[in-house]
Amino acid sequence: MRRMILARLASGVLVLFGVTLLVYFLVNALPGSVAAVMLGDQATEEAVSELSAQLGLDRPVIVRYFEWMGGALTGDLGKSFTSGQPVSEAILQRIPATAQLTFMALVVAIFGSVLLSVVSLSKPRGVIDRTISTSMFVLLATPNFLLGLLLVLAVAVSWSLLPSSGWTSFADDPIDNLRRAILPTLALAAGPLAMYTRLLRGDMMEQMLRSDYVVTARAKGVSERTIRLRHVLRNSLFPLLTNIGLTVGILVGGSVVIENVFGIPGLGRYLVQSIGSRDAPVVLGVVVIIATTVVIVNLLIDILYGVLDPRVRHERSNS
Amino acid sequence: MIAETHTQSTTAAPAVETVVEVRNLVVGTATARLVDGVSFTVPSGRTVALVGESGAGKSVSARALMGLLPAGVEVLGGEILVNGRDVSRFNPRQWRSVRGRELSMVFQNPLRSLNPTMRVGAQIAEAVRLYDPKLGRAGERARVLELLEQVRIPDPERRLFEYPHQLSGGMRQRVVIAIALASNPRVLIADEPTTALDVTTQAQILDLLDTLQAENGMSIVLVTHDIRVAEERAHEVIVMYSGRIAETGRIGDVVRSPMMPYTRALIAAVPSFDVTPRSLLPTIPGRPPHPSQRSAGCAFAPRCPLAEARCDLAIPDVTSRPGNNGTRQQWRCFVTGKTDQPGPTGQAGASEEGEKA
Ligand SMILES: Nc1ncnc2c1ncn2[C@@H]1O[C@H](COP(=O)(O)OP(=O)(O)OP(=O)(O)O)[C@@H](O)[C@H]1O
Ligand code: SF4
Ligand SMILES: [Mg+2]
Repeated sequence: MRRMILARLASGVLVLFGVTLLVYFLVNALPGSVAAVMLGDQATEEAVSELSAQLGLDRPVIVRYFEWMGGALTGDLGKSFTSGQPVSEAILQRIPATAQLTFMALVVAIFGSVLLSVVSLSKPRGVIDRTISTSMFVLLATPNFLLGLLLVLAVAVSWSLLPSSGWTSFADDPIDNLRRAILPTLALAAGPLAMYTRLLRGDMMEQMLRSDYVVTARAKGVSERTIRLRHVLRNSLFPLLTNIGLTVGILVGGSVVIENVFGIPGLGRYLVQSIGSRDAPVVLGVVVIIATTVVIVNLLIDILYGVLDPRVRHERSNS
Repeated sequence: MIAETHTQSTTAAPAVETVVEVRNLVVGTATARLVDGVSFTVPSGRTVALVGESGAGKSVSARALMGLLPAGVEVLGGEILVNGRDVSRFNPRQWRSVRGRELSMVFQNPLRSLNPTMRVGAQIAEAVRLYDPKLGRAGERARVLELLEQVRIPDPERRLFEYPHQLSGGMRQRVVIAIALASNPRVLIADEPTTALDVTTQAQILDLLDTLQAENGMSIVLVTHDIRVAEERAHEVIVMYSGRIAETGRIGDVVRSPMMPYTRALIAAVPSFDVTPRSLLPTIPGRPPHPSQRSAGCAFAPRCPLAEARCDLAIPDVTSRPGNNGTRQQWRCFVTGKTDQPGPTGQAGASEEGEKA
């Protein structure tokens, strides 16, 4: 177990190194520079290069990357070029909205998929099952920003049930916060919900049809409902867990889009703004936070697997 | 003699009660009759072996008895009488009242037939609770321990909290048997219960089934592809070929004087058996036809050395002759089947010591 965690951490560090290096070069490869953006289109070339030199941008990219890395390793993510605010401070301000959104979406997707799969399989290939399957397929094929816009149009604009954009922090006004979180959460949860439901329903169905232990349970006289809930669902949660690990990245990526659609002041919107202004320290800082989260979540899932699955648990404790 | 049901009288045929009676059972898919007109009975307290090559329809027949047919496979005709009640068209809820209580089943692969993520104790307790919901926690636990002891699992207290993968194959199969026994079934159906186990363990598991039968008088339907296992363990045998019954009778009678050419071939393939028409079929070349490709005649005809033209045209009628202890040996064959066959001892209805005493 400890070996596994160490190995995962080591590979996580490599991932972070690779991701930041790649992003650093990409940001610098973008046409236009932060100085040009800051000074506007009236600026002279001299003014732009002067500001660039002030910001230290006249030195080679690779040198700047290692300087940045040196700072990052000591916990200093640098300052925003455009606002001068320390990047870590700016990120901390924006984490709550993003964290809340992705967490709520994950919860909706997980519980929703369990519910939908169990309901689907109460009568496999029945009307309900087929309706759910088709809906999930449609959800999977719909880009989340489009879904977000549709939700805004229907619920917020046409029926004026919920606000269409803007944000209130949970600490300031919990009720308003939740009202504002509902639509973006749904838009964000839709993709993962569809993915998890298809996976879970498929895996459960497969077990119902082919697992010998299901036949044993039937032979005992256990009802189909109990078999679904007590035996099959439990075993299908393991592939679901693996899939959640694989999709956290997608979820976080989705929140970048959704925050922009709904005007939510989270990390995603900040990331898009900073890319627009070529604000490299901010872009890198946000990317580091997101990548670290993905690595840590996957590590946690691996650990959780070991705790929950008796087969893995004993294999690991024996080795 | 302690267990009356086991006493095989040397004088008159004992009146043995029938627990399960299968009449002209047809089981199939949309395209094939996997089990085609099968009839047999399971007498109380006896072991009936279901023997045949792979694909003969043994598992499909066994599962039909439990109402546990795979998806797409259905009972198409006939009756399954369990204690006189026809269960063949029961709905799922009605089946649950039969399973466990009257019939229980043990499967081929003991690791796969247990839930890998549930503790062994919980899996047995589930069966105990279904049978007797009023036991309460302590009672349940006591009953689970009792069952584990009954199937001779050492250190049962510790096993309760283990998972299937922590047990050896033989131990797992004992757990599966304990689950099957939880509800005191009248019939235990064991579908190749030892195929996945090593030879020593195989014998131990079969010994256990014999012991349990002696203890509680249940009937056993033992599915096996090995006629030697049937000879050692069963009282009666049903030989299946391509979804149909080739021959039935008391195991001793069938093994000593098989009548249907397929049974003869099956027995001749076992070197240690002393077969009456011994040079008939040392091996059986070829394979049985898939149920969807059977001809209108005897399914064994393509492989049968005695086959004649008429064998391809129609299914032979049942020929019956008296066996030992008031049983009858029955088979279907145009060539070896004639009416008024003398019994295997040359004497109609003759009696003899039981093979399984
Ligand atoms: N789910 C199914 N759908 C269609 N055909 C099936 C199904 N299960 C079994 N069969 C067919 O039914 C026939 C009998 O199968 P069965 O499993 O009863 O054989 P068996 O005698 O138990 O053989 P084995 O020794 O291999 O277990 C075979 O031809 C098999 O291909
Ligand atoms: S009926 Fe014909 S083909 Fe069938 S077993 Fe008898 S002799 Fe052989
Ligand atoms: Mg089989």
